[in-house]
This record gives sequence, C-alpha cells and structure tokens, in this order.
Amino acid sequence: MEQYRKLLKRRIYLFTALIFLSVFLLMGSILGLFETNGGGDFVGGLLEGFQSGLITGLMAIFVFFIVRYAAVLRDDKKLKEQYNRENDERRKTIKEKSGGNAMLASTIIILFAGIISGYFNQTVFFTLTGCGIFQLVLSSVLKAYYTIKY
Amino acid sequence: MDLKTTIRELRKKHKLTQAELAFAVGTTRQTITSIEREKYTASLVLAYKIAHYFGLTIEDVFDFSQVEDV
Repeated sequence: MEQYRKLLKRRIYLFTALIFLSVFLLMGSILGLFETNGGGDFVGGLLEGFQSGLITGLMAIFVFFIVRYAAVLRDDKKLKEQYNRENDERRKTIKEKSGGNAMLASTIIILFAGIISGYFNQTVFFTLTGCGIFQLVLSSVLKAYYTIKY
Repeated sequence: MDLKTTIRELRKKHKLTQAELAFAVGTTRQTITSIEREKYTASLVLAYKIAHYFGLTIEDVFDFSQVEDV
C-alpha cells in the first residue's frame, strides 16, 4: 500500500505541474501574450473562447483529482477503497475493452496539442480538437456499453 | 460462459453486505454484484480470495458443472 501511496503523491505533483502550465497558457491568452492566428474575426474569437474553456475545464479536472487524492491519502480506509477501485479486475476489463490507458493518454495529448496549435493555425486546432473529442465520446460510449454488459 | 455462484447465500449467512465483502477481498461492490448476477466471471485469483474468505474451496462457491459439460 506504501507504493500506491507514493504513486498518488506523484500524481498530485504531476497534476499540480499541469495546473501551472494551464494557468500560464490561460494568463498568456488573457493578457494577449499569445495571439491566436485569425485575430479579431468571429472564428478567431470562437477559437480563443474554446481554448480558454478547454484549459479551464482541464484545470477543474486536475483540481478535482488533487483534492480527491489528498483526501484519500489522509484516510487509510479510503486509500484501500481507492486502491481496490483502481485495481478492480472488472473495471480493468471494461477499461481495456473501451480503449484503455493508450486511448486516454492520446486524447489528453491531442487536446493539449490542439490548444497549443490554436496559437498558430486554426485548421490544425479544429482538426486536433475534433479528433480529441471524437476519441473521448467513442471511449465513453464503449465504456457505458461494457459497464452494462459486465 | 458465466458461472453460477453461492456468494449471495454465503453473504446472507455471514450477514455481510456486498461492500463489506468487496472491501475484504480487494474488489468493488459493483464487481460482487456482477458476479452474483452471473454477468461477470471472476478471475481465478478473485474466486480463490472469495472462497478463502468464507473458508471454503472454489468449487463450493462456484458451480463448474456447465464447464464440465463442454
């Protein structure tokens, strides 16, 4: 269980670093440090709004997990329950069948790449974000299907 | 192929909730529910843990008659 405790602490550090990166991107966007390609037209505004929303959403997810892990680390019973939940064989089966960690990791990378690319090229931004959202929806639908099946 | 089990009966006999059994054998309540409803087949390790928890053998908890028929 000590190994798992260390793993959760590492995740907290990782999410904290990602929050700092997100804050940097968000502040840069608000202060106009990064000009999105497209400027003041409607699509440019849409792109900037979408980027800010996506970054804020990702930050909210990171904060949620940090708070959750911090609470789990303070209580041994909750730690065991969290460990059981993460290592539960049925959940692992469902996860594997709905794309697994590779799908989740690639979705996060694609979404972040989409946010960054938005500062250079609108077409790349919409393509990458579309791909990321499609992967997310596909994975969620498969997960729901296999959760009902098993 | 989903295995029939006596987990529900054993739980009631020992006055255990699904959550309590799940916690004891290192799984989740949902998994115990699925095994009891024969929607999910437990792995050998989990089957052993459940049987061991009740002080029984795997064959006492899981019905392998369908497997033997194949």
